Amino acid sequence: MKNNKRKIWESPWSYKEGWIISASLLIIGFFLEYVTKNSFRTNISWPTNFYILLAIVAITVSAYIFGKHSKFIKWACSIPAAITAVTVFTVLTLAMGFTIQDSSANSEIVNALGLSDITHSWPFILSQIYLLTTLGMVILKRIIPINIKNIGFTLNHLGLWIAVSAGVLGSGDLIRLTMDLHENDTNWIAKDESGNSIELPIAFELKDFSLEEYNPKMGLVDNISGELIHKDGKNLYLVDNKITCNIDNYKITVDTFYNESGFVFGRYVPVNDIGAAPAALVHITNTVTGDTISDWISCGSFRMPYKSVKLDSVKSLLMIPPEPKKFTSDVKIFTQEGNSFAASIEVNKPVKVQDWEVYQLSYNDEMGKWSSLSVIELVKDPWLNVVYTGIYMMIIGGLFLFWKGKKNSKTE
Amino acid sequence: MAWINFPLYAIVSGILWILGATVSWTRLKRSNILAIILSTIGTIVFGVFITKLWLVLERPPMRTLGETRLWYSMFLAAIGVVTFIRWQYKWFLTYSLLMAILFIVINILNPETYNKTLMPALQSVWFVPHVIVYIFSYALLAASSLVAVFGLYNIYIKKKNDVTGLKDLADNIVYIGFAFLTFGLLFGALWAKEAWGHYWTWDPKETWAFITWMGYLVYIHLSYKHTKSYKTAFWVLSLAFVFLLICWFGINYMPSAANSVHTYSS
Repeated sequence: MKNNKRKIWESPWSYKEGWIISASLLIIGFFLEYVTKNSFRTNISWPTNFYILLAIVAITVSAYIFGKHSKFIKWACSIPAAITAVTVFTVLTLAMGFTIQDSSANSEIVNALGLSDITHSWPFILSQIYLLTTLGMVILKRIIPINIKNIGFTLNHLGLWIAVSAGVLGSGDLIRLTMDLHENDTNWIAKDESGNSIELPIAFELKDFSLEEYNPKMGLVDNISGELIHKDGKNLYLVDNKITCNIDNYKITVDTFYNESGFVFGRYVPVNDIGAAPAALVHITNTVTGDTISDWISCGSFRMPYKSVKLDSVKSLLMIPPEPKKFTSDVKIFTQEGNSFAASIEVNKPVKVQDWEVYQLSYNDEMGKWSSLSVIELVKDPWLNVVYTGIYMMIIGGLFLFWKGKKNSKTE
Repeated sequence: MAWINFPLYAIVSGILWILGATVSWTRLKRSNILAIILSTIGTIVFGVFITKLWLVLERPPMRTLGETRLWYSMFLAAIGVVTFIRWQYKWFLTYSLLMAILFIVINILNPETYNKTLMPALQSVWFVPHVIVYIFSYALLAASSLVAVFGLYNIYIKKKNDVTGLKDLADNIVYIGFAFLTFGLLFGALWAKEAWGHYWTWDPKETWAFITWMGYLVYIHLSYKHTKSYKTAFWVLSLAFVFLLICWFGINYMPSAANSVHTYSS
């Protein structure tokens, strides 16, 4: 770092040159962004992205082979280049971390500089090129000639290079669609993010949508504002038969709890109808005054009103609609070739059909467990395996990092 | 389902840890061994509490910030003990045990009503490895930032120029911590693909996790090349930990992160 006698741009380049290059990239990037007025937002897709990837590899490799002794290439393989490249990328990511990534939430100047959509902005693209260049150069330096000692290094650096380049260039080929499925209907038309209909080579028939719920929770609500006094979810209790809990100065005991009930002659009774709501008979003691109340609470459903108990002029006891535990779509899937098979789509358990990953996305919230609508998401990402190769390489590389620590990683 | 017996376990662990740290500074015969035994028992007691909580809740206690603090305390104490066994730094053992106690105190002051609900997005085989690996790395990296702050204190206040021992310690911890940070990040990406359809969406939590990762990446490269530039290295290490804290809970207070999908507490 201390190389004051060397004039700038004289060999060997170090941090000064790195910072100047970084700053120039930022300035050029923001200038381009300002001039092109965010118009450069087209996603590069197949096969253009593949050609660009080939070009990047070809340029990096030939620049390295033919310019190995030039001061630029020597520098590009160096730690100062790596640190400045990572730093400038971090600075842009920090800007993303501090700015809402939505143009409607920001001022004109922020939008004009591309700061409300940083991942598609020129400075970000240039910074990625800088990062991939220095990363590519140092990888070549270490893998030519091949040395088994460099395996940890190679896995980490090449893995990162592969994951980032494939992730960035492949994003143009990523397709995310949603499809509404109604029970006993077959659908092969999905919608993209802009709402355009897209016909798919696969079709889905929703046989059954099922939703399991947790018990509802109860908590205090402010009589005037109508807002829950939940203290970040800490003052809410799951309702169950014969439980007792203390909320503020109230001791609450659940005498009876029905998961599904109907309101008949002033009381709740268990029923098995569509829209039957959870209800609980609670016994409330004010621990300060000693007053007691016994009454029903219910969160209601799309067919039934809710019922709360007023505790005093400020607070009431309320039952909160149950949270979903698990929701599943049992579907039959048809392909264009005439094949069909049954599958269960669940959150965290997507189903793979041809090139598509199929996810359980949502349902009709208002209807809850009686929803006959299920929304699925279909994702196609042809570059996924390439990105995963990079990720797995980094995981194995991480094991080397962990196992060998610092001293042994110094192979030079 | 309140904290049940948390204060009891917390106090027992806390006392054992305080005793352990205190003993390490005394001139008792075999004070080091005694310190290790006391702190280890304290850590085990705390581990028993976490295990019981897991059983009672019927789900991994890793959903809320308060729950992750429990793991953090336990890991921090464990790392303090292991580091003490390996390098015999009394100040390090003391600080990590005090930090563990601090986080327990925060939890006692903010009692949670634990409940069994776990949203479907979190019900995955990735949940436990992702969180454990992350919190373990957070605890290690917190330990490394302790070393960094102590190093800066030595350089600026005590005017000591040779802090090689501290730098080596920091490096050793950071390498392991960074490996785990990388696992956490990548497991998160693999999980995100299963749960949300894409491995990386620049969600605010992801953005800050990436910033944190890059902060430590800079430290590792810097310390690899410039083994003797202690000041810069320690400053970078301290700054990286600030990013980590923002990522862990700072973003809960940031308007730019209001739409994060990583919100599970309410």
